[in-house]
Parts: sequence; structure tokens; C-alpha cells
Amino acid sequence: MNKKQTWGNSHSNGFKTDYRRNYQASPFFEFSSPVIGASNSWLIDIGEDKPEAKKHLPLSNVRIVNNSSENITFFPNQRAEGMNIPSGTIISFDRISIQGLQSMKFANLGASSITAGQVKITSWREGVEIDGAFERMHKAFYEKFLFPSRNDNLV
Amino acid sequence: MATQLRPFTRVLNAEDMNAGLTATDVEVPTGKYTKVAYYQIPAQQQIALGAGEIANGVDSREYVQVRFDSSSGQIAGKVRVGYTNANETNIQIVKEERTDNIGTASTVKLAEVKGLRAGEDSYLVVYLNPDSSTTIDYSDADNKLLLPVTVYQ
Repeated sequence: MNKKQTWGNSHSNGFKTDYRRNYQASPFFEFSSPVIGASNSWLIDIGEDKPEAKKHLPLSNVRIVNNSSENITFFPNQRAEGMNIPSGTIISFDRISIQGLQSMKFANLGASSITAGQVKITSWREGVEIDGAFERMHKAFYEKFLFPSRNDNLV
Repeated sequence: MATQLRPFTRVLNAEDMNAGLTATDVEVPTGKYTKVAYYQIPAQQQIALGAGEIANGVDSREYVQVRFDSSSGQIAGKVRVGYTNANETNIQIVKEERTDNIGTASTVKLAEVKGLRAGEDSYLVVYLNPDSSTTIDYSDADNKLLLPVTVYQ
């Protein structure tokens, strides 16, 4: 580090990137369905399908456009229980309902197959606004002061 | 972590992990990690993946074995083992291994993962990323899942 290179200016870009990545919304990541046969399913592994999304994982929001004539079930993170997305509907889930999204599974409940491109998924990680910032502060406070015994390495 | 918890080692098999002979067959597309087995932590327990360690020249680790078959034999690919929380939003992978090493005759031991356990209602999960897309035939008698864990209660 020479005279002109202060610690601040050599690190400020890193701070900006870090701040943007942690506090601002991620880009939108779009997925378009392949053919989904009757009672078959479509799996999206976000990090593997779109490596550019990896640094934003887990994503928080998802919008599902089911333009097909079949009902589908949405299993966030391949959970055992899913949520129905009726035919011809657009349904969105946000951070409050899902919180962390690394993979998604869609099962075709119908009797015939879904044509490629008839189900469109848009997913992103939302930016931090005031309640998100409060939630982070509260979590830190909860772990540090209210229940330090829970501040352990439990998943 | 409460200090009065006493550990014992245990090995989970396919029946324990909802991947037994009667489980519903699941498609496993290549290039993606599909959840193929999971175990929910019972009440009042904490479970760490893996069992044993190397200490004082004694290797007490136990073998991990994961073999799933499609209708045309063993499925080759990558296996990931990890934890998720109860609503499956926080996923922590602790091991990735090839089926070549842990399939038919395992050469891989899984030591206890120190400092990371799953608590009540959380899950231990196994993901499979096959080399080519196929479907797991859970009723195949060649399937084998042996996952050593350490139970604290």
C-alpha cells in the first residue's frame, strides 16, 4: 500500500459489492418448463441450472405462471408437502412464506402432459427493506442476548 | 448446547429415511440434486451426521453406503448428504461423494460432523445427482442406504 492507496479506497469496491449483494435485490432468474408428462415432475436446482444465481442463494421470492390446462403442485426445496397451482393462474410467494429457496419441484397433477414453455417461473432474492433489516437485528439480538443457549450449531 | 446430552451412534437405513421398498419412485434428472431420502429428527434428540473419529490411533469412524437402482441397475452419480431445518429453507451440505466409492462396496467412512447437528423436527437429507437422467426404483432389493449418525439425547 503506497501513500495514495489508503485502506479505504482499496477496500471500498469490495464493500460496495458486498453491500449490494447482501442488501439489494438479486437479478430475476427465469425458468421455462420442458414437457412435463402426466404425473411426472420438473425439478429446478437453481444453483446447478443457473450458476450465476449461486451467489444469491437462497432466493426468497418466486412467481409461478401456470398457463397450461393442468393443475400442478409446487414443492419448494423438494419438501414432502406441496402447494397447488391451479391451471391458468399466476401465484407468487414471497420471503414471508418461503424464506429460502434453493430448489423447486413441480408435479403435473393432470391426465395429459404439459407442453414445453407453458409453466414459467421467475425467482429472485428480494432486497432488504426496513422490516428485513429489523428482522436481521432481531435475530442477532435473539441469539446473542435472549436465548444464548440456542446460539449453537443446530440446524 | 446442553452438556447433559449423551451421545450414541446409530446407522440409519433406507426404511428409516423414507426410501424403503414401498416409497414412491422418483425421477432423478441429471445435473440437478434431487432429494431421495430424508429423516426427521424425533422429539428431544439432536443428531449429527457421521459417527466416530480418529483418536489416539483408533479409527472408530463408520462406513457410509448409498446405492440406488433404476430398472436398469445401479445409478451412477454424485451423492450429497446434509441437514435442513424443519421448514427446509436452510440447507447445509456436509458431504459430497461419488457412487463409485459409496455404492456397492463402500470405501468411504463418515466421521462425526463436529459442531453441526440437526435439532428436533429438522431433517437429515440425501440428494442424488445422476450422470444420466433416470428414475429410482425404490422397490429394487439392491438398494442400500447406510448412514451413520450420532444421536444426542
